[in-house]
Amino acid sequence: MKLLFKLLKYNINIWQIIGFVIANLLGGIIVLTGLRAYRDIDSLLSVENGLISGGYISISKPISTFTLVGNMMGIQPVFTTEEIKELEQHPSVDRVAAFTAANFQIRGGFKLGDLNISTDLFMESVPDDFLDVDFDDSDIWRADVKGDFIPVVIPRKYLNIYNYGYAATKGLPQLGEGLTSSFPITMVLKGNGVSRTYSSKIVGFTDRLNTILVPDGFLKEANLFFTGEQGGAPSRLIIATDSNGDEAELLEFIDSKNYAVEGDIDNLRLQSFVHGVLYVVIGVGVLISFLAFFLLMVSILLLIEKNREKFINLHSLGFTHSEMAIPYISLVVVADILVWVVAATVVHIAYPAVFAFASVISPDFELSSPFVVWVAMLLFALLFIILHRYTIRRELRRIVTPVSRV
Amino acid sequence: MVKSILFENVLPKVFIGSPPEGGPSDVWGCNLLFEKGCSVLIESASGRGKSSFCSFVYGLRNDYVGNICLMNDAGEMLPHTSEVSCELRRRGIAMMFQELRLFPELTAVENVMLKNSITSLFDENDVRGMLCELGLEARLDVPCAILSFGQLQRVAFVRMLAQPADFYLLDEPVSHLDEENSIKMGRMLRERQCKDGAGVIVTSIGRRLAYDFDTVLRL
Repeated sequence: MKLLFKLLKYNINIWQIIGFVIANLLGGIIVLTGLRAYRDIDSLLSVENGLISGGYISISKPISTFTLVGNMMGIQPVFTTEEIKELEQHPSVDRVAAFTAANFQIRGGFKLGDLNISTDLFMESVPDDFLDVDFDDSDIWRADVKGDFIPVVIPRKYLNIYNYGYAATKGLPQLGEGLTSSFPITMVLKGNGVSRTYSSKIVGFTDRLNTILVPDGFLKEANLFFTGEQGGAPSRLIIATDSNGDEAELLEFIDSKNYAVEGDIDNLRLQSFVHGVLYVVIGVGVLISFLAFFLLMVSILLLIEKNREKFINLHSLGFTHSEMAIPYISLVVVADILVWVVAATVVHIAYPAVFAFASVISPDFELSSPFVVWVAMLLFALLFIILHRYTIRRELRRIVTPVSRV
Repeated sequence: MVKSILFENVLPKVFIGSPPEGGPSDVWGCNLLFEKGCSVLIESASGRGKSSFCSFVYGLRNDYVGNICLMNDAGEMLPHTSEVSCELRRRGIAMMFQELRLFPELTAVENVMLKNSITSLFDENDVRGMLCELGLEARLDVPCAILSFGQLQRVAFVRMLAQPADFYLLDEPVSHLDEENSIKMGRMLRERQCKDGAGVIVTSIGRRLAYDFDTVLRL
């Protein structure tokens, strides 16, 4: 085989090979970076307390004139068990929970200097695992109807509205989160002929849920205590989306059901957009890689054509097309393996530095394993080798097949 | 591997409707059987299909009508497939081409060793010895690009011998060689024929290989 290599090395254009290596290296790095970034950006967007508070959507039945008429007739726009089940079974949905609303009267108040503020309030609850609040003391998020304290979580935007929309114009002091949490609040819960007074405190702020929240167990117990009934069917639901699901498809599904959406819909759109951008980036990388692949293939085909007479003569000496293909197949195997191994190594080493911004945005964020890069490298290298090998052998077989001269 | 070569009414397509000048042929349009052990000289003037004859037998071309059957030891016909062709060219039929088909980038020894790499018949010293026997001791490691045609014919002859064969097919092997080299080549070929029990088919345009042929055919 040494002599065959020596014979066929003539006419190899080293610049064409270098061109392939550079172009395919570029394409390979883009593809492998894109593939790894796809997973990392996905998890960055879904990380709790991260850039975006994950894929959660609150939905309700739409409010219309008919709803109002229905309300007057005692018909509430609620979700049926079948509708909830249908949502749970959607492939892009991780889990679904109902908002529990307080069905009794609530009056809350607090003192701010000489100012006594008192108002009717509403409160709702969701299961604890849908909350985006980390309590310093996990025992604080507990309450008992027979007790005297109710912890409350309010949307962070309520505080902002007070600070920037109300206090600033009324000459009232602006409040930080820490100070707000120390305000004593008094709550009076009434219903079923019973009235109880509780002390209360804001124990956290939520960016995800646009309502005043109390512990789920407490509210269910309170509904029973102050109304004598369990709550009815839910009118609002909260959906945790599956990070591997198709957000766009979920939004379409919700649209098709005419449910009203609130909450993190922008986050979902952002996720869809980022996914779209990554698809394009990976697509461009794949395109560059395949252009490079064709560059090498065309170079080899030209080389075979230039050496056409040599192959015919070698075949006339008894060399099979498989034996004659060995030198060029060896060349492309080395080039393909070299390119993809170098591309994967570059991505392996450089990627954490490039993605360092993620830990600034979200300190809890951790890079995904580089496993996907090496698996993709292996698959691409194998695919390129198989296609190159097939093309070279097919071309040589074509060249040496005897052709009638007539 | 090849016991005999059967020609049945074979005629190059180019001769259909316009037969070559110079009278009837002993080969074209006739039924012939070449068997192992025979030695045949096929003589003719230019343009009567000597190289076509060799190419048809060797499987390089198929632009003919009629049948050419290569029969194995069991009397079965060998199929015309690429795999069989390659096997034939390694073990069945050895050919010295009129146009030689040497590689100018390789030296005389390398050209022979390239063929030997798929037959493993000789070691390099054997090859050098045979080339020296034909007067090429000063040209062994010289690229073929700078050898004369007569020298190249000798290299091609040794390369043909670098495989075991049932038939040796030589297309005008001594057209550019002197009598002395022709005698040496004839002797080497005879030794090989005796050793392998092979058949020998040689074409000639006038200058004959120094060989005691059983049969002389006019093409």
